Amino acid sequence: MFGYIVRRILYMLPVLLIISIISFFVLQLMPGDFTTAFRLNPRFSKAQIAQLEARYGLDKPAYVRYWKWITGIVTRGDFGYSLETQQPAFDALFKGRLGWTLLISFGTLIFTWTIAIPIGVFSATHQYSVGDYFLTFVGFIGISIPNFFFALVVLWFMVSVLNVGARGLGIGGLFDLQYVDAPWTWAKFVNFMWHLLPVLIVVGLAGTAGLIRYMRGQLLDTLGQQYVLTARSKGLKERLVIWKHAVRNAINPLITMLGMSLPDLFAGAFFAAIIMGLPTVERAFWNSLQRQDEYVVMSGLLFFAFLLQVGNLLGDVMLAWVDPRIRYD
Amino acid sequence: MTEKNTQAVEEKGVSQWQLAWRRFRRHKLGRAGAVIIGLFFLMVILAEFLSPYPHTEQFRDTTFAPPTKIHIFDENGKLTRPFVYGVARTLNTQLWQWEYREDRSQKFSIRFFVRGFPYKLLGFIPTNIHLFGVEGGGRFYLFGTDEMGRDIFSRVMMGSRVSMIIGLFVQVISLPIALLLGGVSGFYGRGVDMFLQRAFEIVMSIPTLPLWLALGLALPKGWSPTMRFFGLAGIMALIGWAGRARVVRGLVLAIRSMDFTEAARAAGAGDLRIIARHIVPNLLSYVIVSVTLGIPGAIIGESGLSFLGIGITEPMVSWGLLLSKANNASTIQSYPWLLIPGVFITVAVLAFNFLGDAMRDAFDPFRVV
Amino acid sequence: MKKLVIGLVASAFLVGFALAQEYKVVPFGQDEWKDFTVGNYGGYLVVGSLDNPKTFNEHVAQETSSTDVTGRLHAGLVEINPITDLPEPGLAKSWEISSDGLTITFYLRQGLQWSDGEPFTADDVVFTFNGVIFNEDVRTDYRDVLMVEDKLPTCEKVDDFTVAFTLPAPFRPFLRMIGGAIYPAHKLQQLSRVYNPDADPEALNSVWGVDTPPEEIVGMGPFKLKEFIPDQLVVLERNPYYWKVDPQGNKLPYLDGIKFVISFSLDTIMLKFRNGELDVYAPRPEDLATLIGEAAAKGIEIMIDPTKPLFGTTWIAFNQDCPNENLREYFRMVEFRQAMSHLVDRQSMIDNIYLGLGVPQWSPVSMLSPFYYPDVPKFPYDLERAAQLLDQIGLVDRNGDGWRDFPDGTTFEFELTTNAGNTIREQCCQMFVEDAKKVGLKVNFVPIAFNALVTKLLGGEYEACLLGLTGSSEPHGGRNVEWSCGGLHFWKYSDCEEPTPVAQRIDELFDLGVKTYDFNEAYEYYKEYQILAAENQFLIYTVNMLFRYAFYKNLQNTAAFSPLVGALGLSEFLWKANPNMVGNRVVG
Repeated sequence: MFGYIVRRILYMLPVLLIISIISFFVLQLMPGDFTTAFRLNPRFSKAQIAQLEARYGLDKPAYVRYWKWITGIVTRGDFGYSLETQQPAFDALFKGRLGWTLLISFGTLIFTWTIAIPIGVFSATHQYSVGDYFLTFVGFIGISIPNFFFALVVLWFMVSVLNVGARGLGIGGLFDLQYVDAPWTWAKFVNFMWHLLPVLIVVGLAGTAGLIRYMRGQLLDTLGQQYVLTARSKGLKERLVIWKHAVRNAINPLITMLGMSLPDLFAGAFFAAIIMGLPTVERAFWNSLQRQDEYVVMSGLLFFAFLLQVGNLLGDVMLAWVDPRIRYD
Repeated sequence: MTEKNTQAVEEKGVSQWQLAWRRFRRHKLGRAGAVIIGLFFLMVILAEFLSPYPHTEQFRDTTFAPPTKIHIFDENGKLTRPFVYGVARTLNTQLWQWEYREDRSQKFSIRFFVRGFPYKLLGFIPTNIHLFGVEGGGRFYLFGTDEMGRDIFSRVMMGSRVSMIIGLFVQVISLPIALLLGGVSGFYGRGVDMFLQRAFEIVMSIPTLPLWLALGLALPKGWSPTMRFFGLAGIMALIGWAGRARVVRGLVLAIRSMDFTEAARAAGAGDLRIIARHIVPNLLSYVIVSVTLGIPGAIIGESGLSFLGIGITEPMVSWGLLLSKANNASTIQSYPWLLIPGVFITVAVLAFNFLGDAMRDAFDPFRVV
Repeated sequence: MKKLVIGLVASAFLVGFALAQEYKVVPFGQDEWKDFTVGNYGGYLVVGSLDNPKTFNEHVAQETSSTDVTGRLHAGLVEINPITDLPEPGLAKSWEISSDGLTITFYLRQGLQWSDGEPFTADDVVFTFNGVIFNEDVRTDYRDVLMVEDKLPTCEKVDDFTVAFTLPAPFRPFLRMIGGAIYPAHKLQQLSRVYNPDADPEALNSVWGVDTPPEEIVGMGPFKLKEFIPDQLVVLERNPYYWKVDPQGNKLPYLDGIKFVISFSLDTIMLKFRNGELDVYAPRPEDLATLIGEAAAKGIEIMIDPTKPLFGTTWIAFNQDCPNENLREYFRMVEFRQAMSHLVDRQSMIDNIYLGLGVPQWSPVSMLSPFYYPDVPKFPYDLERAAQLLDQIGLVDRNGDGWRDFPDGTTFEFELTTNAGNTIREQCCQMFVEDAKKVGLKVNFVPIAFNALVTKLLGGEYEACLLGLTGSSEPHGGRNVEWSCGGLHFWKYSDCEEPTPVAQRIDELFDLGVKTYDFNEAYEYYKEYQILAAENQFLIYTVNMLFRYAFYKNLQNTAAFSPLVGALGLSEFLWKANPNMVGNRVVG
C-alpha cells in the first residue's frame, strides 16, 4: 500500500509539469497583459508602462518567463509573486482564504452526505412510491437551477420575505459585522452557523441531487444481491438488513466519488462565493485571471490540478481501506 | 450485465431495442421529459414563427412592461374572444419607476396566424405569418418586456436556439473524440492503450472550471457573437471528452472480450466487421444516454459563463444570458417576469435529466450509475 | 521603573504644551457649513466595498477599492472644500503666490503629529515631493498632473514649517493639484533613491502593501488602519493625532472608525444595506423603487438631486484614423459625426436606462465644473435630420437593399464596440444600432472584453466605440484627451503629426487656460474650446446619470453628500445619533 501511494505521488509530478505548460499556453492566448488596464489611465505615460513591463519581465518572450517561473518553483519553492498586490503568489491566493475554502468545502461535503444518504436509502426502499418521486424531483430541481441565481434568490428571500434584519441577523459573508474581527465565542460560532447554512444549501444542492441518485441506484442494485436475500431469509430485521448489509456495500463505490468530488466542491463554491461574499480561493483565482496576474493564475491552476490528483488518490486509498477486497500491490 | 440482456433476448424473442422501448414507456417522468424536450426542439425550429416580435426590436415607450393581461370578458361581462387593452405608462417620480395601466379605450383582439415581421421558416421559406399577435397598434407581451422594451417571450423563443443547440453541439464535438480515442485505446490495447490512457489522465487532471474561465477570457477579441458561440461550445467540449473516452475504452475492452466477439473473431471476422457489428451497437446505448445527460450540464455551464460576462454576447440571446441579465436583487423584487427564462432553463435541465435517467434504466436495467 | 515611566509621560505632556498646536477649526453652523452640527463621539461608519484593497500606498493605488481606504489615511497641503469645491488650507495653514505667479510658498501648521505621534515638519513635505512624487522610480499618477510645459516644479524647504514651490510657468490649477498625500519622512525616506542611493528602485512602489502590519502605515489623515481581513473586512480607527477640531474645540473625527465590508456583488451590498448592515449605499436606478418603498419603515433617507449629474462622461468615438480608408474618409467629415449625434436617442436612454434619472450631455466639460458652458451647439435626436445629412455627404442606398452604400455600391457599415459586461453601455449601443438601422445605416455591435478594447483603442484599430471618461471640476484634467499629442487622443492620433486648424486652436486654448490665474479669462478659453469640440463632435456625448445616495437617518452631518463627496469623503465630520447603531439596528 505504502509503495503504491509513493508511486502515485511520484507519478503526479510529470502530470503537474505538463499541466503547468498547458496552463501557461492558455494564459498566453488571452489578449493583452497585466499592464493593459493601465494604458487607459489618463495619468500613465507610455514610458511608465514600458518601465512597468520591463520590471515585470512582460517584455520577455513567454518561454523565458515560464522557464524562470518553473525553475523558481523547483529550486526554491518560489511560486512567483502577484503583480497586482506585490505579495507572494501563494499569499495572494490563499492567505485568509484556504482555511475558509476547505471549511466550506468539507462542510458542504458533510451536509451533502448526511442529507443524501438517508434520502437515497428511503428512495431505494420505497422505489416508485410518491415519496420516491417527490424526493427525486426535489433533488433534480437542485441540479436544474443555476448556482449563481439560486444564491441571489436565497439572499433576497432572507431580506425581502423573512426580513432577518429585524431579528438582528445579517446576510452574506461568514459573520455579522461585530463578529468578523472578534475572538471566537459561542455567540460567534452560532452566528457563523447561521451564515454557513445558506451557503451549504446553495453549494450543496447540486451535489446532493447527484448523490441521492447514485445512492438510490447502488442500493437498488445491492438489494437484489444474494447475501441480502440470505440475510433476509435468516430472519434479520429489515432495518438491519438494509443498513448493515446493503447500505454498507452500496456505499463503497461512492467513496471513490468522494475523492474525485473535491475539485467539484471548490467549483461549486465559486459562484456562491461571488454572490454571497465568501473568502474562497476560486474567487481570488478568478480575480487574478481577470487582471492577468500571471504567476497567481499559474499557481492557482497548478493548485487545482494538484487537488484533483490528491482527491483521486485519497478516493482510491479510502476505498482500499473500507473494502478489504481491494489490493493495490 | 450484457450477458443478462442476451438471455432476455433469447427468452422473449424480441430485440434489445424493443425491450428497451417497453421499459422506457413505463417510466412516467422519462416520458414527460421526452415530450418537453420535443416541444423545446420544436421551439428551436419554429422560434420566429412563435415570436410575435423580432427579439431585438426595442419598444422604447414600453420598457419593463409587465406581462399583458389577457381578457376574455368584455366591459359588459360578456364572454368574447381573447383580447388585450392598450398600455399606457407614466414615470412615477416618487418611486422612480415606470407604472403601467390598461388603457381601456383601446381594445385589441388576439388573433392566430397573423402577419408580422418577415422571416424564413425553417431557414428557407420566406413568410411573415406568426402563431399569434394582436392587430392594429396593440402590443401583446406574453412574458412582459425588459429594460429596452424588448418582448421577453420572443427573446425566450429565440434564446432556446443557443441554449438547446449549445448543449447538442458540445456533445457533437466531444463524443466523436471520445469514441475515437477511447475506442482505439480499448480495441488495440498495448502501447497505444498505455499512451492514450496517460493522455486521458492528464486531460482529466486539468481542473475544469478554472480552465473554462481562462479559455472564456481568451476567446479572440474580434469574434462575432456567432463565432463566440462556437468557441464556447468548443471550450466546453474540450474538457468533457477525456472522462468519456475512458468509459468508452472500458466498454470496448469489455465487449472485445465478450463471448460473442471472440466467437466472431474465431469465425474469421475482420476488425472492421467486429467494430461495425458488435462494438458500435453495444456502445450506442451509452452514447445516447451520455448525450442526453451531457446536454443539461452545457446549458447550466453556458448560463454560468454568461453570468461572468464571458458567455454569449448580444445581439445573440440564450436563456443563460437572459437570466444573468435579470440576476439583480431589485429586479427580483420589481420586475419578476424577467426571471421567466430561468424557468425554461430549469425545466429543460429537468427534462433532459429525466429522459436520460429513463433511457439508462431502459437500456440497461441492471447497471447503476 | 514605575517612576521612570511617569517621568516620561510628564515630559511628553510638557512638550505637547510647549508647542502651540495650530489645529484647523471647521466652522460648523456658518457659511457653507451651516447645516453641520457638533456631534458626539463613537460608532463606526459601515460601508460596502466591491473588492479588496490592493495596496495601502496612496500614491501607487489605482482602483477605488484601494483609494477609498487610503484616502482616509492621508492628508495634503491643500484640501478641496467638499461643499464649495474650492481649494482651502489643509496641512498648510496659508500660502502666498509671488507676483509673477511662479513661486508659491506654503506655511505649514505647527505642532501637528503623525498618526504614530512623530512630529510633522517641512521635511516630510519636501520628502514627499522630491523623494516620492517627483521620483521617476515611483509609478504615481500625481507626477503628470503637476507637469507644467513638460517640466516639474521644484520643491524647497525654507524653514521647519515653510516650503516653497517654483514653477517653470504660471499654472492656474496648481492649488487644486498640489493636495496629494504627504508621506512620513521618518518611515519612508530610506526607501527613496533620492535620499538613499542604495535603495531598491521598487521599494517605494511595493511599500505599504496589503501584508504590511497596520502600525507601519502612518499618515496625517483622520483615520488609521487597524486591520485587513482579505475578502471580508477593512477596519480603520480614529487617528488620535488628527489636526481638525469642531467649533467647540472637540477633536475630529467623531467616529471611532470606518468598516469596509467586502462583498463582490453589488446586489449583495444592496441587500446588506436593506438588511440594515451598512450605513450608506449609492443606489442603482432600479434599486430606488424598492428602497423608497421601505424607506419610512426602515428609517432610510434617499437623496436624489436632479440638478447634480455625476462627473464622468459617456460618449461615442469615431476613429478618424481607422484602418479602413473608405470609412476614414467619412469619419473625418464633420457632417457625418453631426448626423451620428442626431442618431443618439438621449431622452430614451434617460427614460429607460436611467429611469428618468439622467440629463443629456453636450460638452466635454463636466456639468458641475465652474468652467462648464451650457450653450454649446447641440445636435439632438432627429432621425430625419440625420438622414438628410447622410444624403448630403453622398451616403445613400444605391442598390435598394435598404442599407446606405459607399459610392462604389458596397454597403456602408462599421463596427461599434464597448466593453462587454457593462450593461448600461451595451444598452446605449443597442439603442444606437437600432436607430441607425431606421435611417438605413448598418452598424454591427461587437462588445469585447475591456482589456482587448483598450488595446484596440490605443492602437487605433477600432472603428467606433462607446466608452466613458472620468471627469472633474478642472477642465485641464482632460488635456491628455484633447491635446493633439495626448495619450488618449484616440479619435485621431494623426493630429500629432499633422494637426488640423481646429486641433491646433484647442491645443492653444488648453495652454492659455492654465497660464492665467484669472478665472474669467480662463473661462473664456475653455468656453471657446467647448464650442469647438461640440461643433466638431470629435466625441459624441450621450447622457449623464444624476446623483443618488441613500443612508440610514442615524447618520448625522450628511447634508453635503453630493457627486463630489459621499460618506467616505465626509467621514471626518460624520457622527451617529446612536453610536451603537449600524444601519437601523443596535449591535452589541
